[in-house]
Amino acid sequence: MTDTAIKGVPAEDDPRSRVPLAEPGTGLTKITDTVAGIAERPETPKAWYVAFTIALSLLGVLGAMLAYLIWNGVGVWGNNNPVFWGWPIVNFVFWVGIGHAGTLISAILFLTRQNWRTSINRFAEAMTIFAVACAAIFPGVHIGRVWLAFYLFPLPNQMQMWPNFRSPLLWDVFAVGTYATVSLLFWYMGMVPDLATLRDRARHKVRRFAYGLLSLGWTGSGRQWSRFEKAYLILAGLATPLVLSVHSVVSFDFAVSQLPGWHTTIFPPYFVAGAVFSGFAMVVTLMVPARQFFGLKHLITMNHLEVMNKIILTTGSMVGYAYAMEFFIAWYSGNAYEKFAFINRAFGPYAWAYWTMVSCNVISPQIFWFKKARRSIPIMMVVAVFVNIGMWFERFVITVTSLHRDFLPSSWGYYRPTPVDMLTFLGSFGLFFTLFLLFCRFLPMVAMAEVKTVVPEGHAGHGHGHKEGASHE
Amino acid sequence: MSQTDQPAAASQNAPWRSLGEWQKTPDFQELVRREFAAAEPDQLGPVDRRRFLQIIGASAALASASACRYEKEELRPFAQRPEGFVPGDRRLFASAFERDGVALPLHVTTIDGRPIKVDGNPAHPASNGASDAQAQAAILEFYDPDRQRAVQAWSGGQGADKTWEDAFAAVSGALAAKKGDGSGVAVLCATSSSPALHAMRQRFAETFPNATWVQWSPLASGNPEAGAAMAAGQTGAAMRLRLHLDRAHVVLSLDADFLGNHPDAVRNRGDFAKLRKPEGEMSRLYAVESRYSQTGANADHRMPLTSGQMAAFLEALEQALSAKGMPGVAPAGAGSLPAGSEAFVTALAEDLWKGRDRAVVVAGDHLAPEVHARVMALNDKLGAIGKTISAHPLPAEVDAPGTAGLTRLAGMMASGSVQALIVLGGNPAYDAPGSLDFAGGLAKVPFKAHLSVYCNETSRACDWFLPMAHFLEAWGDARAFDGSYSVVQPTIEALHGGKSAIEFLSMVLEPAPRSGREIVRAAFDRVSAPMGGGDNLWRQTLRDGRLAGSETGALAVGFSAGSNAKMPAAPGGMELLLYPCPKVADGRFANNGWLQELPDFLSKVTWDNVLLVSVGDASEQGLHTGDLVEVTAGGASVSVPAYVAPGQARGSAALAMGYGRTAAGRIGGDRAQGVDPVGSDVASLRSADAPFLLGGVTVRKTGKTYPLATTQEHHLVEAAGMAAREERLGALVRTGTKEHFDHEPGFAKHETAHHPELVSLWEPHVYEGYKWGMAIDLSTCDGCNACVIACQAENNIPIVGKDQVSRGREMHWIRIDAYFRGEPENPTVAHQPIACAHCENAPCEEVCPVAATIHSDEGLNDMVYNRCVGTRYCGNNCPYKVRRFNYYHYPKRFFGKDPELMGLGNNPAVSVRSRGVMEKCTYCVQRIQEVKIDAHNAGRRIAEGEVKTACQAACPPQAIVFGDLNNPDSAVARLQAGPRSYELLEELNIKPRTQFLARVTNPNPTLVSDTHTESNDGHGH
Repeated sequence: MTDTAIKGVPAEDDPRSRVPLAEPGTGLTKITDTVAGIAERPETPKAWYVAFTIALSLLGVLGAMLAYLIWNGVGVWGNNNPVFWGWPIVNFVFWVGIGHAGTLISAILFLTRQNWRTSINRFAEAMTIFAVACAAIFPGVHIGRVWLAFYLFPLPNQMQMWPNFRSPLLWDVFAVGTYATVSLLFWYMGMVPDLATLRDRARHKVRRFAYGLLSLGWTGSGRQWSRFEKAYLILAGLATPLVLSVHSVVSFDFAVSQLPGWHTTIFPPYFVAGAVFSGFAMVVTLMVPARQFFGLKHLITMNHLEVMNKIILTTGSMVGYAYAMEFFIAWYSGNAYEKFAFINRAFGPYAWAYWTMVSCNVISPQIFWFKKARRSIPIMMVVAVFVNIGMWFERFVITVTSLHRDFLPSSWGYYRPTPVDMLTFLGSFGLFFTLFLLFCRFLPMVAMAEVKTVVPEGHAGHGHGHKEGASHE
Repeated sequence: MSQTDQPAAASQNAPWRSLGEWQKTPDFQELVRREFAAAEPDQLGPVDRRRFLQIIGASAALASASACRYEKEELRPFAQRPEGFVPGDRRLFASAFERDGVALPLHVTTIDGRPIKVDGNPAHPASNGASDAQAQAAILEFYDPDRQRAVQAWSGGQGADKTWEDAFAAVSGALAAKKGDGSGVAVLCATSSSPALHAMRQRFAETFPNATWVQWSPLASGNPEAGAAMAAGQTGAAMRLRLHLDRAHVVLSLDADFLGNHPDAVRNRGDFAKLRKPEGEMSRLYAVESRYSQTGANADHRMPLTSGQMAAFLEALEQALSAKGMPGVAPAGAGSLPAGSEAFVTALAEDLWKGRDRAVVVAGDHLAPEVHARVMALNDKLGAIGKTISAHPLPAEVDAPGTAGLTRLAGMMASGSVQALIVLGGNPAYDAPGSLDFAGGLAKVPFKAHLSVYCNETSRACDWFLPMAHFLEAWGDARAFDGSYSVVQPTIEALHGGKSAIEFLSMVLEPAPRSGREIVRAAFDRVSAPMGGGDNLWRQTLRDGRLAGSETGALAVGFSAGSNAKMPAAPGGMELLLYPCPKVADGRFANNGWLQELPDFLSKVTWDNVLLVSVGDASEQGLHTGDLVEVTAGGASVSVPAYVAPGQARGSAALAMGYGRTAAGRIGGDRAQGVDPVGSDVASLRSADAPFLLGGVTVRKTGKTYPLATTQEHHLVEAAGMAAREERLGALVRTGTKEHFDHEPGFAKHETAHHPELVSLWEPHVYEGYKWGMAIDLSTCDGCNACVIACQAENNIPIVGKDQVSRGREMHWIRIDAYFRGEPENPTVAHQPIACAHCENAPCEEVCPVAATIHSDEGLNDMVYNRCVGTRYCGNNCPYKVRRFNYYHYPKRFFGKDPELMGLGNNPAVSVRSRGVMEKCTYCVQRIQEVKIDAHNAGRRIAEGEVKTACQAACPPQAIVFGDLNNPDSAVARLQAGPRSYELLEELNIKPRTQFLARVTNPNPTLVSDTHTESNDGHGH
């Protein structure tokens, strides 16, 4: 630690020092007790039941809507000609975007040695998996003939018919499929030591068996740890390009087409920034109540939240830059269709959606320039929810306003969602929260093993642990 | 062994095969005597329990299997195939489609005995191969499951199924007492030119001499016929006027829609187009009209003027012509024209006078006979008679059109002097003018029977509904507008056992009823007697679809007497024009989903009739499109949605007839089945004196709005969008004047957006065989919609219903975009038919993840329905938005219980698409394949003109040309290489195979600054 404090600067803002990643006095035992205790609580809290009932009901709504959809056809949605893609694709991109924070936190921040990630990575990764699960529903059911969805995969068949490898939708299948697989592996593998801890502490036979099965015979030997660390590093290395690729490829769905408003080279970075933006906003949205409710404030500290808010501010500004750049290019390119697409976005029939998006995504995070705002729970909650809304609208604006007026004015139209669209989207939150609540109840929400490496007690003989970290700089 | 001693000497030398034979043992002899070796029970061994059960089990299984048999089918194979019949092959039958006494000659295509498509008869000048939307839609009507299938007795709004025997007993009973007299007997017959029916009418008159026989058509006013007769000084002898637009260089339409609502419109469209190609001489069309008609849409100069002011305009024109030197013009009346029309009148008079002998003036059907008389006199003075317009006697079979006959009959019915009424076709209870109270009179008739294709409003008010045979399933005959005789051939046994009018009358009147064929043949013999008659001529007439030499000759009469006709005064107040709907006519096609869903040629409204209100009147009264208004005229009022119509004359409103049917069926509305009517019924507004043009109309806002389903949303675009549309229009529909074209033929090529050099990512396709392409001439396309329905019929395109149209989910593979230009009070309009352009660099092909849409080696952009999973990405990426998605299983959306009947009308060469599949124009690939197989079998290339797409075949002006681009001599290759050809959105480098030929109009140079026909030089960049 620094010996002399700088005058007027609180210790935690001292650039020469590292902020402790868990509140002082958080010993190894306490970490285990806190985190494992949540999963081991003999009685499930009533509030969990209430939340779970709501989530499960919404999941039921999703199921009913999907059954209704498959029985009747895509016509139950508001999609039309020219707006062949409506809410389902908006929802898909929205959920895939949300699913970005987790892997970014676990993989990229791991590789860049951002140790503060350890308290939140498990949580964020779980959120990623669940968001990708929600996302995966939409492209699957939005096609006209769901029962032939397997045509999208390169399966050997008697017709010797391959999918069209030129189509971005096919790239999408691969990108999202790979991302989901790697994220799931990464999340699960990282959880194995913690599952073993739960197994060892389990008193009930069933729990012992279940956690025993999931922990794959982990004993915590040095050799296992060594292999674990190597595998984790490799997976992190694999996952890192995927964080960038998956949303780049999702953006190709739009950018590769020739529709004014879609056909833009800025889309890949813009989409990735937007995805990280929305992902972090969602992490904050969920983390704040969770740390409160489960008593994890000493592990997920205000410092963590502040760092995430900084990322929200950064990515939000990147997104704002992208919005501005789109307009600039529309004017600068001299392409009349492109120009009109953007005039139409801002002043056409969907102007309300556009300005909702701008207010939520660009204007609202600007408050995070102020430290007070970054460390204020109410403000960050409001901003995070705004960003979630704004990012949904961003996808709506991109998808619908570009489609509804393209080249020939004769085929211009207007898109209105139906109640089925709305209930399906609502239902997807049911799936998300059902999985999330199950995760909170039965799995270690915080990566115990990893957090232990960053608390001072994890570095016996090294004094206060973060000198070592600081010396890397 | 005991017989070994038997002598064997005789057979000492005989060969033997075994010792037994040699010894001739009894066992062996027994063996020889028996034919087969005995099945010794002990050799089989005892049947054990297992074996027994096996045998029993197998027997039981086989016995029960005999109950499993294929469903009994009623297929009757030909023991010997009839000569020339190839299963699955197309057979064409020449026939005719009669509406209001005018036949459109047709070719009906049947496959395996089922009619599946109708087209115009190329050998008949009234069609020249082309047809119109209503004719194209006849197939759907024929297979309509809502056609009542049984004879029914109706009372108290309920029908009970009966047999034909019951019906004939009832009809004979009602008529028996009247034989030899007939007073109190009346027949109301839909107007028909059928000589066979006419012969029956004569026979009827012989049996019932004092009976009344009235022809009725709600669409024909009779004004042109009466006016022409008046001008010829032959009042009472109606005559028919035929236009010869292929010779008319200066045409003035006074509220006349000769390209749209005209009995001879198909021919007129074709003739008109002959002088609309800028490469040759071009005619000039002036339209002065109240409603924006199809004729007005094709005019070089158009002036909105109320129908009431037409007389004043005509007088002003006469004065102007008089100033040029035209003799015999009476002093002008009191009528006055709006300010600013002098220049128009002067220029028009100049043009007409300069172009006399080659000019023609046509007056609208709804204008008074006196106006027609004056117009005919004017034509006479311009030297038009016999050149660009000719007068012919009305065929003997057709009564003078108008409301007089029906008025007389309604009077008789109201007074109770009609005891028995037989209605042949039509639907007078729905379409008779409200002032006649036909339905009320009908209730007073003790016995009434209706022979009708549908059990409609009239049938349900009668005692008997008798199913009438559709024209595709019965013998008949009719005359085209030129009077030429065609035989209507049945193409299939009557589906529901219906009878044609002639068959029905024969059964009622004749002791030995004759078949329809015999009746028609007898009529043919009479008609063809001047040409020699005989079996050969009969066969030739059947094959050609027309009896050569049977058309009526032109009358050699003068029309100068018309100059003195006294012009009617303009009706006071706001006027309302009730016009026949180009889709459902007078409502007879109301249950035809193809026609109901057909977008109006201008407003693109489907599934409704709307009150067309001028922009000025609308802003004055605060009306907006979609406002529900109450229209009141002559004490009656109708609730109808308003539509602010660009180009509608101020002070005039217009409303289409034929909607608001309450007993049409599940498409057009059927109260009994809980199906709401489509649109609003205008019959109550009509009176026998003024069935079309009403004065003193009030339009009152109700404060409610009404959802309209349009396929092109003209009225929902805000300023920014309008600006973008304006900016793009110049490049989308490239328009120039004849003058401009003569000076710079390639002007259209320069109107494209500026773009960098176009580079393709892909290797270009190579075509060694055929390379199909299309060219659409925007100069001659008149927006008539025939192609849309032709495509729908050919390609089994379903209808989707009003709610789906308002969601933008209509399925038409070809659509006609309409773009207005200029001031909303009097804009010009350009039509642009758009279907899949089969791009070389097709954006849809690149993005389909499952390769369901791919390029063929003949350049077609093929759609593989079986492979399509419905991601709809192709639809998004298509810049023309011509791809259509089956959001639901549309073929079953209506008539859920009767898909089999509907299915019979499908083209078997085209897949019916399931839900979840994308579809679009295929360039009629099935037609290409069919011709290709024949050509391949004959070892030759497909010749030019051999493949015709459905839209092309139906197109009266022949604006659509299809063919092989690899053949440099093909029409399409030459057109695409020509100066007027351009690629829509060529800056996208998609290389569409359908190219457009720029629209060239021929405005009068002296008027150009006043109108909006000038080339729009907006560059789309």
